[in-house]
Amino acid sequence: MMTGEIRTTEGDISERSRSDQPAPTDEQGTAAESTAPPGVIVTEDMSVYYGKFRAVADVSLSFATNEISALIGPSGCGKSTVLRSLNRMNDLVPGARVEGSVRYHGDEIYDKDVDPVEVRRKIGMVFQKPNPFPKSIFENISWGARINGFRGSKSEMSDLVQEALESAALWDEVKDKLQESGYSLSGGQQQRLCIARAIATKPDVILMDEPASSLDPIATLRIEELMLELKNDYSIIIVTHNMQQAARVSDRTAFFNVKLNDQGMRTGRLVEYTETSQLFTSPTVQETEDYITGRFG
Amino acid sequence: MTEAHDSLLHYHRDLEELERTVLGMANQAEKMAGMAVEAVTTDNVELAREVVSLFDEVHAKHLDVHRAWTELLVRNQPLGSDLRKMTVLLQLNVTFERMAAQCSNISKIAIANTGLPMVENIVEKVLEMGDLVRPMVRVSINSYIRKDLDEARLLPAMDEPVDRLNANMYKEVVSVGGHPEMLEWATKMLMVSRALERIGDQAVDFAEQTAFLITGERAWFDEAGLSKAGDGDDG
Amino acid sequence: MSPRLALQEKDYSDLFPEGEDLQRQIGGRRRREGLARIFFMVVLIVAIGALATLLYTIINAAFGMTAIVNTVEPDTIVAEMGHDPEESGLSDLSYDELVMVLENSVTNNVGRRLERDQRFYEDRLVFENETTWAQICASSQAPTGCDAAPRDKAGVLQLVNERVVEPDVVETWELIPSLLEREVIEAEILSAEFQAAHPGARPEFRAWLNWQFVTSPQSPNPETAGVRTAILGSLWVIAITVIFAFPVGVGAAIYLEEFARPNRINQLIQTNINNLAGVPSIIYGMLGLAILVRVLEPITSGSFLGEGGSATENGRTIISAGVTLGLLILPVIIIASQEALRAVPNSMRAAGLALGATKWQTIRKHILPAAIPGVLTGSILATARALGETAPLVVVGASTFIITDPSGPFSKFTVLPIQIFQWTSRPQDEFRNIAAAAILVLLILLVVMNATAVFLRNRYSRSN
Repeated sequence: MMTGEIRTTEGDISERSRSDQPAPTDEQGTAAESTAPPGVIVTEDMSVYYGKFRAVADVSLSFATNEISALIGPSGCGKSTVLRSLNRMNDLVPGARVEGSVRYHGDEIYDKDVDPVEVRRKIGMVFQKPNPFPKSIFENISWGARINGFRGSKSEMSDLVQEALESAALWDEVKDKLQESGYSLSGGQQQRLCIARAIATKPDVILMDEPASSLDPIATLRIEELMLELKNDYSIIIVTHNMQQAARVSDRTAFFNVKLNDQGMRTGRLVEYTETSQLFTSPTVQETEDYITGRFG
Repeated sequence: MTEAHDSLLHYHRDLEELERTVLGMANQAEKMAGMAVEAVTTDNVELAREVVSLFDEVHAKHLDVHRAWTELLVRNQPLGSDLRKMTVLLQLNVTFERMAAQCSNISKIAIANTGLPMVENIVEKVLEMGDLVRPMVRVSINSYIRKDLDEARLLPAMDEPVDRLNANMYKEVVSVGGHPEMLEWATKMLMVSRALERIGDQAVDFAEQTAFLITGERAWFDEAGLSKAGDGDDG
Repeated sequence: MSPRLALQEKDYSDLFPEGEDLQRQIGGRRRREGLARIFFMVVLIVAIGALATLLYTIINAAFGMTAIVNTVEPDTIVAEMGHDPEESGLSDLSYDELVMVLENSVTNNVGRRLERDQRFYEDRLVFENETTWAQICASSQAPTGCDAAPRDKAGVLQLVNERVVEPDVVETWELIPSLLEREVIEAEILSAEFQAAHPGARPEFRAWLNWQFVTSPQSPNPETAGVRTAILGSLWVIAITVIFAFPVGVGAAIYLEEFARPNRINQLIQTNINNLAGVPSIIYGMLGLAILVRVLEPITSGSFLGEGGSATENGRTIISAGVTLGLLILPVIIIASQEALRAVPNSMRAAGLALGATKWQTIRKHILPAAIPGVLTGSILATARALGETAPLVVVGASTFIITDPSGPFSKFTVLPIQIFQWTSRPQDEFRNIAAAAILVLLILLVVMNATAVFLRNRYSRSN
């Protein structure tokens, strides 16, 4: 697993540019990862607790910029927990606690003086079940921009909305009905609307929690195509229970597994994290091999 | 630790059956090699004909395997070692069919050479090649079944004498001299030597596939049986 | 070994009914279902029957035949004024003539009281003498007649009707008999024995609930009494209740549902709110009496604003009543609003927060609008309940007999339920009738409130 020495800086997370990455010194070089720069989000020995229950333990991952990283694993392995911890959405769960470090462009997002609102502006999220607001399509997208202090004129806002919808491959389908409710769209369209909504705030990273699992196969493929387009401008981290989806879209895949410890608690752990084609052709850990060939306990 | 439960049981069973079929082709090829060498060195036309008809079976089985393989791929999305096994079996389907084809070629030469006078030296050399090649096929089959990487890496070394014998066969043929019928026989035996050398190479290919299946690394074997990536210009 | 293989060792299939057995079993189940459906239908019919009976009883009492005896016949009065009763009626008399009739008939005290409530003439006094009038008008407790415009003819006509003609309902009949046996009743009224007991009695079909009933003030006379005072009182009180309870209740619900952390203290608060919803309303009355009427008297009596005269200088005012009822329905509003907020799916909150919005931004723009239908329904239903509360307002001090309309939050007041209660406890028959009429007014108000709730809810859920 990748750990690197990352210089922490003070200052506003959202103003940090992507170009000033320090060169890493690697401590445990694994062939594929030691020469990669530290990623846009890096976790180090991260554990997430719900009260006394340790949901996931000692996760050290580096998510690369402008790549799609997939988190896979059986249920209860903690992949969704890990994802939600990356933009502090886990804060909403009562009793949730994160130990270890989660750094976004080198800045620790769980520092006491960091406002989660700021974190979530830069690290957006798309959910499993599409959840557009019961407002017009236009307003779904403009609201996010406005509450984040968008200072443009009305026509600039229209342009922003159009750009977001185009990026989400939805513009042609809705350009004549922007005032209609978001609920009037099909499931796949709603999900693309949610993606457009997320990118309208100009985030850096988009987290996707099983974004296509409630959609039909065609809609699913459209979302996957969209992801492959979006990765040119954003870094995407997705949780999926569909291994073939992870194989289709992701550049790197992390396999999590749930283990029973001596107290009888089921804690999730990171088992392997490597290039996708490598993980699905010749994984290095037997657990991974067992999981992907269907031989799991 | 609880027992691993196979959630893809039916697929794995089908895959194993396909594997057995393909290995059966290898076994068949090994047997046919022995029969072909005997036929061509003892002028046994009946044996030769048997080998040719055995090849027809293998030839047909090759298509069956291809169909079964495609069906497995359509129905399942193999990953990990399953995926490697699928790619290996597709390759071996070709390799073993070619092995059997070489045996059939040898037998056809035996039929064409019938009645012609044999040259003692050449017969000896061919028998020697046969005795070297058949264990190669055996070892490659065993190393696959036992998933034994070290055993697989023995193949290049076993191939070296076969290559040498084949390279020197030309000299034997040339030294046969002016007797036309003998020359005819000897020239055709050159092709037998070539066929046996090909079988040897195919056994090495088999071992390289086995290594890929076991390690996941793609490489040609060098003479020492160690993997090297890059251009392999050994035929 | 797979579970399926284990089951195959024993054949369970013959433990299930087949063929005729199966038919019988299904038949049994269907019969039971049929019985259940019949039971629920019967229950529904009983409920509807009970409601229908209620409505029937009320409507029956609010309309019907009456036998009326005039203390002084209008014809007599017309004749006394020198007109021919065949050609003219009371309403044809001039204003001055009507005033003269009053002068001749009512006592001086009554006349002075009437004049103090409202003058008859701009330029002269009828019952009062000038000096006394000037005195009382100059004092700090000047009656309304000092400033108000003088009466109009319709008003004086009504006075003459009330005080001189003084129609007296001597007997009443219910609606259904009145409709079906009208001639029989009329004959009875005009019969000799009836006329002997009540000379001059005449039959009249009376709708006790009429526009006059709604617009007239209270009166000791059931024939002329109206619910205007009570309606206005109820509306004022409810207005205060809503202005107080709605924002406080919804705000508290938002805090408890969205912001409060699930610790011990908040659990305690929640439990207490839930319990308070079940506290008997009279206890709220006692609370209102102790705190609002007594302790906060300077505020509730309006004296800190310089409002009201000595007659109203105590805390038994509309504002006390309104706040008391507000406290009564506050737990209900909080609970209903909490439920409405809880019903909004969490995915909406997640969506808002994931965009980098603060909690309040998300609530204000998305959660609250989505919860509004439920909040409104709950609040309006609670308010409708408050409209019908009697006991706590009795304790807080609603006046049981008050004829002046409330002029502001610091006025004395009465409310419809108390008016109804008061009338039903009077012995005369006629009070039963006007009580029924008042109940109908109350029911109509409740129906209007509930219809508003449905309308508002539909409007808000449609616009979402």
